[in-house]
Amino acid sequence: MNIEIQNLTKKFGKKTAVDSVSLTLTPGVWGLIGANGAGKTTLMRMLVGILTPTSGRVLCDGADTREMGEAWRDMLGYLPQSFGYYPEFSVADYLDYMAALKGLEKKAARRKIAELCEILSLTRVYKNKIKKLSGGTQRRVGIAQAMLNDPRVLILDEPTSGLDPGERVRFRNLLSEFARGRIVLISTHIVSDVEYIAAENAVMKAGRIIDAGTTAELLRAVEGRVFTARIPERELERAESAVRVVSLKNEGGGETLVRYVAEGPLLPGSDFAEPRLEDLYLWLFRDERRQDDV
Amino acid sequence: MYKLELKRLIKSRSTLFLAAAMLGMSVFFACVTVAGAGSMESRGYITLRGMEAIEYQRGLFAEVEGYVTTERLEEMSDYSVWARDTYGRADNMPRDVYERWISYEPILSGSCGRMSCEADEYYAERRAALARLAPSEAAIASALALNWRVDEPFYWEYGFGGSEAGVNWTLCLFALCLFCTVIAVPAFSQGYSCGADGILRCARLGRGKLARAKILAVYSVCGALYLLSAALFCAVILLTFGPDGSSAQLKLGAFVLLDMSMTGVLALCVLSGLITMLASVSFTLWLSSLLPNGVHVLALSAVMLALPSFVNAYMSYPACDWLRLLLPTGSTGLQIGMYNELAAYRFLTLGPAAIWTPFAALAVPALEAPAFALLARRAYVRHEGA
Repeated sequence: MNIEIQNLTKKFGKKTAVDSVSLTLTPGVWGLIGANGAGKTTLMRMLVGILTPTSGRVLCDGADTREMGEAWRDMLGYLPQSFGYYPEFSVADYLDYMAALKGLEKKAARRKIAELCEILSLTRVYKNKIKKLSGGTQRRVGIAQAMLNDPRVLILDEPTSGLDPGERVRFRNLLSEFARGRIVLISTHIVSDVEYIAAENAVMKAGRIIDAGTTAELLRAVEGRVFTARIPERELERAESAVRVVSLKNEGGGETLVRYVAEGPLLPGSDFAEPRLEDLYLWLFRDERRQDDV
Repeated sequence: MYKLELKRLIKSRSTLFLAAAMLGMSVFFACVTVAGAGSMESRGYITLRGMEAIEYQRGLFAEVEGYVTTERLEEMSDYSVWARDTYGRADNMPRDVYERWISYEPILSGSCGRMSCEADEYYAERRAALARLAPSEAAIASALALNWRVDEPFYWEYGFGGSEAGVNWTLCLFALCLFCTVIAVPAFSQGYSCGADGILRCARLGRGKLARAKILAVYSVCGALYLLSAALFCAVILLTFGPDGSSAQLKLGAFVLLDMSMTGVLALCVLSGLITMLASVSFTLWLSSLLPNGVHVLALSAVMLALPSFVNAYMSYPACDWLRLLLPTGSTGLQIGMYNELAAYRFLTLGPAAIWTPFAALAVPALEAPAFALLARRAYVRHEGA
């Protein structure tokens, strides 16, 4: 199975949120990386059919997903960036409702709900109202609904936001297992999540895919551009204005270990470091200012 | 899906509150009707209200129940004139004379009194007036054709027809429509505003089938609550006053063009109310499928509910009847409803065609209810968030 995105464009008035994006998604976990406002959410919303593209199309095994209708939605699981639910729903009501909406048989639905509640640690709060749950637990309910129909295509927009480190690890493991033979597309700001589980990544900037490939392939762009340097604390301000700092670590004795990305070893005493996705992200978005996501 | 949507709607706190309000409202209006029943007090020594008045009147009018033939009308008219001429004011009449005189009053005032004619001319004058007062040739033809099926002589018996039941039902219907509208407001807009919609419409049945389930669930809840409320109102009225087999022409309006008793009129008013309520709800569902803000939906629905009353009160051109009755809420409002349409003897004319307004009041919402429901479904399926 593959999903082929062909020249997908979305314009809101004069603003182009997604600009002629083409990408082929194959089974496995895909990471969609980009700054806020890069067009990730708009691209995902077009993929699941919530937004109609201004131009371009999405093909699933050669068939236009808009023409597939129910058949496309049947193989889809989606968790949007902000998880919305009817306030009167308990977890049980909500999952029952979603199972019916996904066309699951009652027995199968009950079995699947029990299984997901177990995996996502929702059993204890099963009868509770969703609005009374913590943000992380609500997020887990959102993940559960997305996986109810064993989707062949799972699209998750910022799924790990609000999860604590333990939950995040469990979720990553769950996804890795789930992704066998399926397409899972995750957009996240937490690059380490993608690094751990995504086999392939697509990087979005200003509505365009600027790079795509396996993590190793993408990291080639920053090979020889990631450095660490131990500098005196008083030099820190000057260093931060000269290079893009990835991390700072106080080493004691008035010294700080700086990890940075730059064209060359700009700070004195720099050593080459093994590149990571976070380094790539900061390298690609070194000029970005934070703005609201579209 | 329908069952789950229905369950969700029923479990919501606002629906439960509105349901209680609707049922309470209908009982309130029915009780107001019963409490408002009073005996004719001109004689001075009869000052009964509520159930006592109803019991007294039932006994009083038992003697005069029956077909109102020209001969009976003449007899009643003669007696009424004699009593007036002999005793002057009703206060001076002996009790037996007063009671006989007062028992003739509703029949006389509902027939020749209403037509301002002699008793022996009532039926002929009524038929002549049908033609005289119709606004066009087409209306005359339509009125006479309809009247052909109206049986004469008319029948009169004691019942709720002489009470304020019709007026109070009209007010009650307006309130019920308002409450049902409020129930329908969040049907789609709540999903848009709370963000639930994005997930729902990605599910297999999350488009057309979900829209249909939502519409049917709102219809079911509003329909059931309306029928329950109407049943409560009618039960109180019928259990206290009893059914009213009187011809509508004697108690409601001389120019009612249906061969129908007052009980039939009440049933027709309930049916018309149901159709109007469904049309109002469908219109609100359509707004709800377009707008994410529930307050906007509620405000526009309330304007639509108030518009017919405004048109009726401040616009007296014949074309305004068209405007009012074409609105989905055109058959409900203050002093607007099937009860008023039957009594008013008005026609919608367009070129050579004329439609008696009660028919339009039934047909227009009956057409608009499914039309707006389909529009709501279409708008929901095509809806795109920002």
